[in-house]
Amino acid sequence: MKSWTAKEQKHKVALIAGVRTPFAKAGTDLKECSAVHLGVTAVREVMARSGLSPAVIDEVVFGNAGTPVDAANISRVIALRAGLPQGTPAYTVHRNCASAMEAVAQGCIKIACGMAETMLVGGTESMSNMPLIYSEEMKELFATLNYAKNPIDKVKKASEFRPQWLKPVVAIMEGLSDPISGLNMGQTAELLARDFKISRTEQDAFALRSHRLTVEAKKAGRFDEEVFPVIDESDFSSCVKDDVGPRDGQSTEALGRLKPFFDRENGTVTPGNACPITDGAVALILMNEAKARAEGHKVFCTIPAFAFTGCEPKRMGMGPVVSSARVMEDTGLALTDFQVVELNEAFAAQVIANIRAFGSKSYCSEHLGKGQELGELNESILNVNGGAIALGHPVGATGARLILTAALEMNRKNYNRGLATLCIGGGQGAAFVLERN
Amino acid sequence: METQAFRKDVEQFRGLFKEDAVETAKNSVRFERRGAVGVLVLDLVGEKANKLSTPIMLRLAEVLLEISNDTSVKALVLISRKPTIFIAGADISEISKMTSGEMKPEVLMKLQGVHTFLEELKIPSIAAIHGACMGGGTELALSCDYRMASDAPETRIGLPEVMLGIIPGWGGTQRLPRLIGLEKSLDLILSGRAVDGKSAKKMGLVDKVLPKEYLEEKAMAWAAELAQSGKKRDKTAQLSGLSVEKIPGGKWIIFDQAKKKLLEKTKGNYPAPEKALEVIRKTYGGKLQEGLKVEAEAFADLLVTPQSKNLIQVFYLTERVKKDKGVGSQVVAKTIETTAVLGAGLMGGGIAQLFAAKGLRVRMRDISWDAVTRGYKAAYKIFQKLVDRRKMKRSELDNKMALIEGTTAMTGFGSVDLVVEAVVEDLAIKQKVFAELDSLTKPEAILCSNTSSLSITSIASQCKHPQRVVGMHFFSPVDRMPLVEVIRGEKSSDEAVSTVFQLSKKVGKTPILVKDSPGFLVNRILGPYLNEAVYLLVEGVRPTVIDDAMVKFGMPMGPCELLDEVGLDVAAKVSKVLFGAFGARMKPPSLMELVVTEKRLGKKTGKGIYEWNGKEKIEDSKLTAKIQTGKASIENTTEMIQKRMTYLMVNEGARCLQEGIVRDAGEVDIGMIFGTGFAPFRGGLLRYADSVGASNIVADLDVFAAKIGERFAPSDALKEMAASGKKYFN
Repeated sequence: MKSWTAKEQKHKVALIAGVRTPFAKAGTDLKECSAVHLGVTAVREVMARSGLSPAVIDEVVFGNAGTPVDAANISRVIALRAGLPQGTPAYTVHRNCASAMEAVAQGCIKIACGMAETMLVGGTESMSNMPLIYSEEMKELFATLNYAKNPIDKVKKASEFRPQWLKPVVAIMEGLSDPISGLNMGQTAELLARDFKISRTEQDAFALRSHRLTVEAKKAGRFDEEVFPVIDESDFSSCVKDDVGPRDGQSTEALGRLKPFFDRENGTVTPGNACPITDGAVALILMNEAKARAEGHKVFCTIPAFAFTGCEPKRMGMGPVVSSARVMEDTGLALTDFQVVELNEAFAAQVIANIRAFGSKSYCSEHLGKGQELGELNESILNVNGGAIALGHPVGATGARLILTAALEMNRKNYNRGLATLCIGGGQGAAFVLERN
Repeated sequence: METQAFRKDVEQFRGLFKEDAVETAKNSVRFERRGAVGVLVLDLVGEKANKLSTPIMLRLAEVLLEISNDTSVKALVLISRKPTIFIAGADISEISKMTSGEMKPEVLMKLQGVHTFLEELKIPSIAAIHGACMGGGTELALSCDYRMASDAPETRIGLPEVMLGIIPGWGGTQRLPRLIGLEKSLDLILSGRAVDGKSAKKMGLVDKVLPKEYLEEKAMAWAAELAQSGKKRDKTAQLSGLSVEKIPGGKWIIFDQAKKKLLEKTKGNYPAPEKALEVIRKTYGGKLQEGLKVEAEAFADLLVTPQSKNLIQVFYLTERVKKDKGVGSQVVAKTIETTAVLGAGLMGGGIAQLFAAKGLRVRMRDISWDAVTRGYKAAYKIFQKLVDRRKMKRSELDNKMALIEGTTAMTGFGSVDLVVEAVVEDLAIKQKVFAELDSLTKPEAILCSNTSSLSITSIASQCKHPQRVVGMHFFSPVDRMPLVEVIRGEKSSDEAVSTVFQLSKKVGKTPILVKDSPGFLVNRILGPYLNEAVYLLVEGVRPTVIDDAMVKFGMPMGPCELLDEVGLDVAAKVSKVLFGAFGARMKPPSLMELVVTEKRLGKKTGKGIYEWNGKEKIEDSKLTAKIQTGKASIENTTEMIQKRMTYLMVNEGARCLQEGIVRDAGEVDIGMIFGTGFAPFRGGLLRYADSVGASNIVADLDVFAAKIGERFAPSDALKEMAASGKKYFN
């Protein structure tokens, strides 16, 4: 599919406000908070910062991957609980790891064509609260018990019960596996490590970099504008102010001690050089650029183009290079036109594989049909405030975080162009171009 | 009941009313026919509520007589045409006419016959209840064979008579226990509380509960069936289900328990519920006609008690507040949708919880996230209690909590309609805060201060738009104390004042307009009272003795406990402000300082005048000994303690009235009842003064001033009142 570019746009789209909750490793500080609560916290704050009346929001779109059973259309629940008018529609989108990017895409498309002027978009995920599911046998038993005509039938049916049927299916493990390739996400990363001959040492070094840069960014106050605290939802007695994940004292030795998780014999991917499963939410406000400027809103950046592309499910990690190539081709931009790149760190191996592919003539010609390489993805512009290996990757929210982080960095450094891109489980990629004039 | 005799009574009463009253009643109670079913439609002309005045009762009697003569009417339905009211009860203005002797209670008593006549009709009857069904309305419904109620939140069924110092007088004490049993009926009658349709069904008070949209249709269908079968209710049927009263002697256990619980609550100050209990005890299980007679006599006795007169007076004062807009002009109050609270402490957090509970968005700002989190936690605890009591679902709690937006920044203030400031009581800080708010908020936003002692005019002095600054003084704990003092600064606009008035009512509070003067109304009157409690301690009176005396007087808690509850540091601060403003008579006892310096700050530090073990208070003999630095100047009997404490308040209340701090004596009384819980059965502070007599109070104060201290010197205002021989209320 083609990229979404100026050709499709009657109106330009501006990002006028954005905020995220702290990201916390699943099972830690935010484990008692639902995905709804995380989303509500981010939405309320982004609304307050924008100074907009809730009535001007035309629609709400949120990304979410692990649909909570009590909030199937989670966007709508978040919107109402956060105080948006009942008359404002809301829907939820799912594109795995790019769910929040899809939400941003929906916002862009609707503003550009004139359907909407102001869109509230974002993503939320509580991986701590992904359900445990009954086994097929157990479900079958419940169903037959329901239909049993008399008590005797019921007893008969119930006597077939075996305790092992109670072993739950962990939804999160199922969700992080791809049914087409039959691989777990970690296994796809192992494949890239083999393809590109990426050593354990290289991966651990990249993971260390992620922690170091994230901690530095935090210490320098570069997350102050980005992160807004969450009050614990279970009894509102504590407050989570900072990301739970980045380690100040992370070391090569500590990383080196971890055992490979996905291929215990020969593997290189460990919990230390992969992103942790995480809870968090992001909310952004997009507005018709002309309107935003006329009303005097701060324009963090405009979003002139994006692309979604497909790739081999077994090598889903190559999504960034594929989608970036597409959006660069369709906009005529070169890699050198970007001063900042946010490329999601699902796995250190996967980021390194992408860096290599960007600079490899043979990869680019074989897989992207290019006459030459895309260019060198310089580490000095890549994930300069760290990334998901340290911060974590709340699947449905990360896409919007990459855009927000890139936009804020562009404003701090007065850069005029940025790229936010990520890989998507199941074999896709997304790439967004951000601009300041 | 003899139709002939009833007819005679009715005809005799007809002469009592003017032609037009009879005509209005005729249009207000209409009789309609739908085949074999007769429908009594209640729709009082020119009124929002259906009330059972004597002309209406007479009209009802006439219609019932007609029905009893018409053999083609086979079933009867009672229904209201008011959107949110079935029958609000008897006409209270007639009750007060009776208490004043303008009308004879016998008239009302004879009208008890209407209920009995309805009950004894040969055809079955149904009350179809949607909306408030109170007192006389409930008694009318109880006289029908069957009752059905809507499940709408407006539907509330109850017998609130004891709240006005009387008891149900139209058979409520008879028919309700017979219908639903002793335990449940005592619960309703002694507390006066009302229940919704679902609970009414559960306790057997109504036979069916259904959505209001189906009420009339289903009532007609049921009546049509009953018209066929002619089935009256079987009054001999046993109570269904388990009940203590079915155990031998169980009844007496219930009565004893109810009495014990009641006295614990009323301290013997409220005769009405005691009388209700006595009536039921005497009559339960006996013959209805005899029971009705006992009830009627008790009703007549209670009507003339001062408690009833006082409670009815409080009722009228409350009704008056409902209509009060706080300003004389016709300005329209602004609709407030989004709010902000500055400060997430005890008051700020409490206000945020209140606003959220009433569905208002509220940004809650404090300087640190720890403080913000404490505000959240306090709000959550209040909501969680409702969830525990099954008065709220967890999802509602989540919705309400989501209305509170914590922040440490001043972001988001640009779009709020109203801000309440509840930061520390420091004029310079408050002035700075208001100047900042003045520039941050939209120009039409209303800015309120919850100050308890500082001048609103001074607080607003640094603002470019001081006209939108108003005092909105809540009392602690915010979720439970009903009063809000609305303080008009020198430059406050009518629009701002009326908006704060309307908002106060919207969040379920009772606002009174108060002049911008130190301590405003309630704290100024309470100041000398709390000081005096400490003076008594100094004289060697034990805190429990003081507290017991005042609880016996009718205060909800004693002054020493109140001081511990409020915090002695806070009380000391307020009393210092009052001393500064009013001089010697408000001089705080030096002990107040001592206790603060020793960090005995009250409940919050676990130690104050009492030692606190959770909710349990323990008298601390060491402290008591330390405190006792003086000796008693008079014999501090319970009566003397009560006089010392309350007469100081009367004295200050008289000054406030004369200085125009509030507009009239009724507002002094409303302020004290809703701001401090001042004994409602006494009708309020100045009504109490009336009952003692200003000259008696002045005489006692003169004695106290001579023997105890100058602070008791009677005010000119009170002396003038005593000399004139007038009363605050006529």
